[in-house]
Amino acid sequence: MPRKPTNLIYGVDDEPPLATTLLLGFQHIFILSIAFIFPVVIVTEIGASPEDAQNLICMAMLATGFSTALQALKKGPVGSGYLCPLLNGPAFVPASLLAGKAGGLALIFGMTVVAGIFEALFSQVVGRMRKFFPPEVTGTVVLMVGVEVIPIAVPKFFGVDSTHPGFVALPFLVALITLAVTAGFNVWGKGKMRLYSLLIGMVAGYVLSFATGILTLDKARLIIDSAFFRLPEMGKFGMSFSTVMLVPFVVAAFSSALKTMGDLTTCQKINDADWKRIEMRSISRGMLACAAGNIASGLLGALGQSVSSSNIGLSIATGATSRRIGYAAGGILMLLAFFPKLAAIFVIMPTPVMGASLIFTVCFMIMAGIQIIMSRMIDARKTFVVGLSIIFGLSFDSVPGLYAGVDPVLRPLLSSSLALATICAVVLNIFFRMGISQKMEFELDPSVDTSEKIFQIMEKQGGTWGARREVIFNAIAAMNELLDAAPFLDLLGKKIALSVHFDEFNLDVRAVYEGKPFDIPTTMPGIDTMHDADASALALAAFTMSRYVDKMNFSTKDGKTELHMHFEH
Amino acid sequence: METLYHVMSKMEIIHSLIEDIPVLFVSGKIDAVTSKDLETALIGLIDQNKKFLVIDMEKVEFLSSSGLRVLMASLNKLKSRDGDLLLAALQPFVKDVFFMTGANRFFPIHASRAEAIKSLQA
Repeated sequence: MPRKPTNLIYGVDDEPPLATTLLLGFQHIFILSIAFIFPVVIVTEIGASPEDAQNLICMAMLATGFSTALQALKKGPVGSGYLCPLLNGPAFVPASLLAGKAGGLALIFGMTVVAGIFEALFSQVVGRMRKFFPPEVTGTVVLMVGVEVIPIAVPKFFGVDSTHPGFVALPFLVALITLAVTAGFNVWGKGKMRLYSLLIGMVAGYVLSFATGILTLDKARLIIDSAFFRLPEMGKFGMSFSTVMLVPFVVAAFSSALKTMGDLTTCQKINDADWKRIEMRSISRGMLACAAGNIASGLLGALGQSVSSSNIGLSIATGATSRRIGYAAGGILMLLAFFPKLAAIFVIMPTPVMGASLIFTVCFMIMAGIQIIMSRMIDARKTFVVGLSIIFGLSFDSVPGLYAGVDPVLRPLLSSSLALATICAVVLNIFFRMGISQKMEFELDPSVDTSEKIFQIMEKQGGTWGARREVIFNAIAAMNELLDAAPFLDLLGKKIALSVHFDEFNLDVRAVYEGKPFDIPTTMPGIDTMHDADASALALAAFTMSRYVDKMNFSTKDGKTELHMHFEH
Repeated sequence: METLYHVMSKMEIIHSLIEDIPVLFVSGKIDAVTSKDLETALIGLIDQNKKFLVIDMEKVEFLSSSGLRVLMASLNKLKSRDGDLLLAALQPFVKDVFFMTGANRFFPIHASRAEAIKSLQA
């Protein structure tokens, strides 16, 4: 079982008290509710009615509630087992707009089911594709998932909207105070205060918005005017399909699947103090949960879903990642679909509160991405994979309209900074993998060579392979022990031939020298023997070497000895 | 087969006397080659009848068993004269070497040079 990091108050397997679980579930819903803006955008763009928008939000609550709970499942074939809520996210907005304009809501929902089926198929093969998604690719995706939210968050933070194209002081002030309260409780708050920091900040934001007139009585009246209970109309618009829409929706599903991979990588990392590498089984099950969510969305009449990076940012910030919170958030969301009065509280969320909350969570996503990228040694190849992907990803937002002339079929590939960066990272990783040999050989001359040579060769090669820093360091140290032992093995003036083989799971060093194997002591030589190098140096080097390796053995042939040192990666 | 030029290990030792306590500031990599310089420096101080020595290892990047052996031999010699060898400010990897091999049980290991000196004055 993974070791729970000390910064977590409630880890993934912990069971917080019921009241705490429910409150934390509500906190996640506040973040999820920001995405209810997307159904409104689609409906406005394709000319459907406000009632249709309300129905879409209702169905979004049902479908994402279902998939959020499903995602948290640990047992069975579906679900990553992590708190990783889903929302009707921006990944499907460009494709949905295309479909909505071509064939109305029915076509959006039909193609969303198709996207779900594609994602389900992809989830079954993704486990065998790990080499295409090393930490520099998944880390870049996680980083860009955070970056992608910035253009949505920043205008809201500064009070910019369709009627106010520039900075507006009052909403900005409300957003700033909301962010300060949230960040303040998160940094200096102890225990529960940190746990509920976003909730406290949002309540402060709501109160301030009401006091300053940003949240008007008219808007607040929506809570009073909404029905207390109403059965949602499921599948009201039906479904239709179009082969022309296949590419945009498959691309959206692929981009969403990679986002799932990035977000679930973060979930794995934040829940395991000893995290080393991506675990594909939970990724595959998590992707299948997203696929089920998308199929549910299409059948019920909601937009396509993807995992919510902001909510993972919230989990990191509050130190609460218990899967129970996922069940609670999912359950509450599904219930809200039946209680419009309660749902209205989220629907009327003031814009500055949205902006501040998003900015707060984005900080954690960006840091999570950087940490994943830096978990491996970085060389020039990886620098280009990460750097170019970020640069071209950002080009989408920094040069608006840059990709406007692209064929509509390919446009979803270039529909957001995230999609662009993801595609760049995957393609560049494949490209730069060319010419990387998994085996490297060199010679050591114990008469003249020192630790510097081993460091130089292995650090360079470790970076090229993208190996874990500590594993490379252990191999360097073990090789150095052989160099330390050389004078006592009568190897001065002779050569030691080293071959190093790497794959994602193993690092194997084979050292061949003219001479005999040596004993590996199981205990450290006594301190009283240390003054005599001849008596203690070989034994101490062999003992120290044995502490660095996971396994070692000797074989002899034609007067030569091969020392095999194995390191798990 | 890669052809590479031979590179010498880099290590520096600076002698200092802080509040009448001999302190060695060691930096770089302590391996089979450089440990001989460390041995010379330590033997020199022990031969001057110094009983308590502090080594500031903040800038030590690597420590192989050759270096460890020199430290342990010096410690043994000092202990036989009722003295001690105090290690200070070890970087995580260097600290790991002591804990991994069990050599930590022989040495007083301090978080900082000031702490090591203070412990001798107590």
